[in-house]
Amino acid sequence: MIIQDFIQILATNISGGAANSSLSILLLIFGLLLIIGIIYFVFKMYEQSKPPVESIVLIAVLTAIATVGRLLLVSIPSVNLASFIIIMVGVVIGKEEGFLVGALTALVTSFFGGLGEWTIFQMLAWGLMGASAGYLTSKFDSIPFRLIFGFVWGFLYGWITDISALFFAGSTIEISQYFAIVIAGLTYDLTHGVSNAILLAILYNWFKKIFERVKDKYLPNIISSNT
Amino acid sequence: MELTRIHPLVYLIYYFIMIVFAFIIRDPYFLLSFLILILVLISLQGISSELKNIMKLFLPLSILIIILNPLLNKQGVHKIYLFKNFFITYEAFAFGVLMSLALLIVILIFSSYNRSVTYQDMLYIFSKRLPVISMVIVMALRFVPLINSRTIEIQKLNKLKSNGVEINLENSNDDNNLEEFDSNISNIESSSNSKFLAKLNSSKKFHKIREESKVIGKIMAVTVSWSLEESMFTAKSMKARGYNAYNRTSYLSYDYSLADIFFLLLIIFTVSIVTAGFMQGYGIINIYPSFDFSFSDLPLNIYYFAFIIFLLPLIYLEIKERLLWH
Repeated sequence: MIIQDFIQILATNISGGAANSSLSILLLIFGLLLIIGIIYFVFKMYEQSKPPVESIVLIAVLTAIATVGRLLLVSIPSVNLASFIIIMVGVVIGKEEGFLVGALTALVTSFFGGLGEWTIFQMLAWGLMGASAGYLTSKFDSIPFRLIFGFVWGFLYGWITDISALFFAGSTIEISQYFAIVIAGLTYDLTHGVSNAILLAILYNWFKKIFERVKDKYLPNIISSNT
Repeated sequence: MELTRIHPLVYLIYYFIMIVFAFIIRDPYFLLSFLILILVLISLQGISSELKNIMKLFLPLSILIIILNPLLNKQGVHKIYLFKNFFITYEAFAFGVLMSLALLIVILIFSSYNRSVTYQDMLYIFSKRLPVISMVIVMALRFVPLINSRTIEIQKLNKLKSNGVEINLENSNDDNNLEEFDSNISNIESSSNSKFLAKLNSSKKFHKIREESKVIGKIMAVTVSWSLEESMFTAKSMKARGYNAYNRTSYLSYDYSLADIFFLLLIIFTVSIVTAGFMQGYGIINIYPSFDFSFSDLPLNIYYFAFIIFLLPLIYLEIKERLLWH
């Protein structure tokens, strides 16, 4: 009952008088199209930079590795090797590659596990995960930062993908419904965040070495170095 | 099948509109007929065996929605008191049921979509606008089983090694990395709260998890470095054979046929009628503040029939295919 009261207080406070703060489904569909536009724009930017063969193959193989990491542990849904690989790509190879590998991993995984409107939100969430790791490269040498980054992204990923469930809310959407979904997925997000943080803390140096070796050996002038 | 081959872009538009309809429509009659027709389509497409898996995913989710929505949402006129001061509203309950019905419809539409449009068709649509990205996707799809088999191979090797079979490797960089891995763990242990970790260390379960994570990390690292090295040879080979010298052509090719045009015209015609119905409130029922719906008022209007006709063409095509092949 305590949890129930808490949820109710939270819901009423944030939706602020419920009925007034309803937004229409059309807004959500517009948002969906906007996200597709953003992803398309990044893809197009990559196309127009005339990438060399090495870069194309590298992105393909990293996407495949992340997909295998996702599919191998599909029985434990929240332990997510894919997130770890995507963050590492963002850190070592670059923010654009991080976004591409993240977005494409979601797409390729959906070819195996089934396509849905949630795929687009997964693409956005994983893409942003890789890109943000690319922007914060310099801070990744400290262990506390890695722990916090992995943990926070576990939750952010869950929250972004939860938006896709709102489409079933009909012509009016209440913010309280979103909170219900978020609370329902709390344990999932928690284990995702914790496993992310542990993997980043323990395996970071080892994988950084592997990725940097490939980057230095085969892509010396192609990808602008972030570090 | 030439006769029922529809351009993938037409399929894409059709399914997209179906999903938008499933999001918008809240009239129980519309939703129920939608569900029935989709179920007919799925059984004709021969994926009714998948239905069991879908229900496994769907049932807990729908129960959660039906329970959570009345608890969180107190709008509505008709109150139902469960305890002294604790009530749920009839409207919120009805809303939860309709919402989970819509969820089921969308899941079914997607499974039907995955059947009608293969990923190769999808890539065909992509490849005109985004040739490089679709190339990356094709390559990634090819790499996935390869990397998977490599992972299994490394797992087998690792098992042999841990069982005491000696394998002479030329360079043993792995061991250095493993030492570093151990020192990493001890670094973390010393930097954070030691009392808690000392307790953890003493427990056998934690020790086991630690050993297992070490093995998973090792397998992952070997797979990644192996695959990256190999992929660079692939890239060199592609370069040597002149990739990017010409524009690539697609493996599949589609032309717009007369059937596509009929299909599109039908979609445009029915969708415009149904949309006009939405404007006047047919198909969209206001649930809050008061849900006044009775099963006796049948929706016998042109908008409802247009909606049914909109859902029929794929069923028609499937039946026609059955008859032709019989």
